[in-house]
Amino acid sequence: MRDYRLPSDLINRTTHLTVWNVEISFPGDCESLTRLEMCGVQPAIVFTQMISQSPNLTDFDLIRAEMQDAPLLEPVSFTHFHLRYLGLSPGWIELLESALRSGLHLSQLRHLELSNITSEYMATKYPLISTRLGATVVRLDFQGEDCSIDATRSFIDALRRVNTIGFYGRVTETALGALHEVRTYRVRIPGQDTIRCTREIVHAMPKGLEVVIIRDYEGEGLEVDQQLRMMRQNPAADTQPVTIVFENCLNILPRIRREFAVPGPLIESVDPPLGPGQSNSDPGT
Amino acid sequence: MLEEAECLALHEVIAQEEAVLDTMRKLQTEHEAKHQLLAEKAMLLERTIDSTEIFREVGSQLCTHFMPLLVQLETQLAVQEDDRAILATHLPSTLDFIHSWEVLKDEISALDASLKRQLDRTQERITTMIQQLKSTLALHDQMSSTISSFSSMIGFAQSSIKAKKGGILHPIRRLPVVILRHIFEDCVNDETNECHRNPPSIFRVAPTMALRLASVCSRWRDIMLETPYLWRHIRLRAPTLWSSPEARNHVQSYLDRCRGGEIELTIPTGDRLPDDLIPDTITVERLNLAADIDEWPILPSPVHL
Repeated sequence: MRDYRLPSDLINRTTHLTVWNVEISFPGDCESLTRLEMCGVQPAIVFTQMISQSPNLTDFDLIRAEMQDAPLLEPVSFTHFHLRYLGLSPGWIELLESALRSGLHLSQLRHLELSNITSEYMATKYPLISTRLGATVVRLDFQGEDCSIDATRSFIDALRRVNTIGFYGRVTETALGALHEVRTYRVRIPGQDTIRCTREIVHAMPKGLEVVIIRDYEGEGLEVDQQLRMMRQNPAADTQPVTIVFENCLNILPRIRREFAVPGPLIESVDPPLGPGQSNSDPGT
Repeated sequence: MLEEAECLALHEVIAQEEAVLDTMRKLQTEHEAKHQLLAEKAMLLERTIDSTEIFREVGSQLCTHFMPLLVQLETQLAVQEDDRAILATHLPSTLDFIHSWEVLKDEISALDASLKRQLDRTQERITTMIQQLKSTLALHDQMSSTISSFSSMIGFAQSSIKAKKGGILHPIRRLPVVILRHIFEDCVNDETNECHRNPPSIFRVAPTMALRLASVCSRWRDIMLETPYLWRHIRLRAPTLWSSPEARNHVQSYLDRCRGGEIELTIPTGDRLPDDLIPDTITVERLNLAADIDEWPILPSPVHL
């Protein structure tokens, strides 16, 4: 990785900056920069450094950035008034928590995007992200190659004002389970020739969720069709029906695309909605 | 002395008698050999006599066997004599027939000679006609190839005319400039957005859509050149070349077409950019910096447009 000090006459004329495997530094505050995308290997210091030196930054994308060193952080105590979008890969979440602890305020942050949220990144480990960002973030996106349903759900529950959730690419099929998951148990009753089926809602639809965005999903939709139907048929009691939006999903079957084009519940007989902890037993043979 | 002489004389007599005796013995041996030879000859004669007896018996048997055949042959000979007498009565008509046959043979010979002459003349005519036919076939082949080349030329001309006609009449030619410009903007933006969606692509793929669109025809080139926004991408090569005249010309060719509008600058990290490479008046809307890119694609200059 190369250290590159951007000339002030150039960076002061730049609004969007994308860097790849380059450790950049600014000669002073950069008023013009509104979007910063950092990829490849990056030192931890850039996180607070870039935020503090870019007062007009609205989008800060570290989704494809891998942290080079341990997340040691200088004390920062300031409020950023323009940052609306923050994209983080797992390594940077702890750094964000530390920055929030040391006094960073992101008062305008509305959109948080996380990638590769595996089970070791449960939101309960980051209380300040839940409390501080939970008050402002209304959109939460997940992407990457791998994700944990429980960890994903923990962030959905922690950021209580989220009304739009996006799933990008390969995590879609797995992460949809974080919105609505029903498990069915089949138990043979002793002494009888019957099997008792029990359905239990593990994850109910989050309250306040209005839109689910599926983007860059390469499947035809058959794998998620049933899950999306259930999600739309079982919204939380006090919320509007969920709108499903497909973005840049070229392979989605037209039938499925049409079906979810109109928001609202399907005109089909559905099971009565079940709340968390409730179960529905259905004897069968 | 006398006795010695007598003794010598006796010895001579004895010697003479021994010589006579030897001669007698030799004669006896010869006689015995001759006798032996005669005995063998006598034996051979006896065997010959025996064979002769056998031959005689065989001969008599053969005579007995062939005698009826001889009689039969004599009978047939008599019959043939009768036939010869009958034929002699028919001989004059046969002679006439032979005579007429010879006359006919002469006439056939004359006819044969005449036919041979005619055949020779016909052969000569056939040879001449074959030569004419060969030359005609060669001419035919030549004409066929000429026709084939003309046919392909006509086909090519027809397809060319059709293509040109299709091109001239293609609906895209009737599109107003404004709409074409929107389409070009979409094409260029699609390429750009695809790269921006996956950041490594910004560095690994050179955006050539603008150049390609401007290379289609003069109308498209004019529209592209009249749309500065579409020439906003500038890619620089290795930092060591930034100060070179080629790099300055490259940047200037894009800046000219951009006409002072915002640009997107993609550069590999390295030395400080020359201050005057990107004029202060130009806003760098997007700045893309990269290091450790294996292959840095080069964006061709639009100088030729």
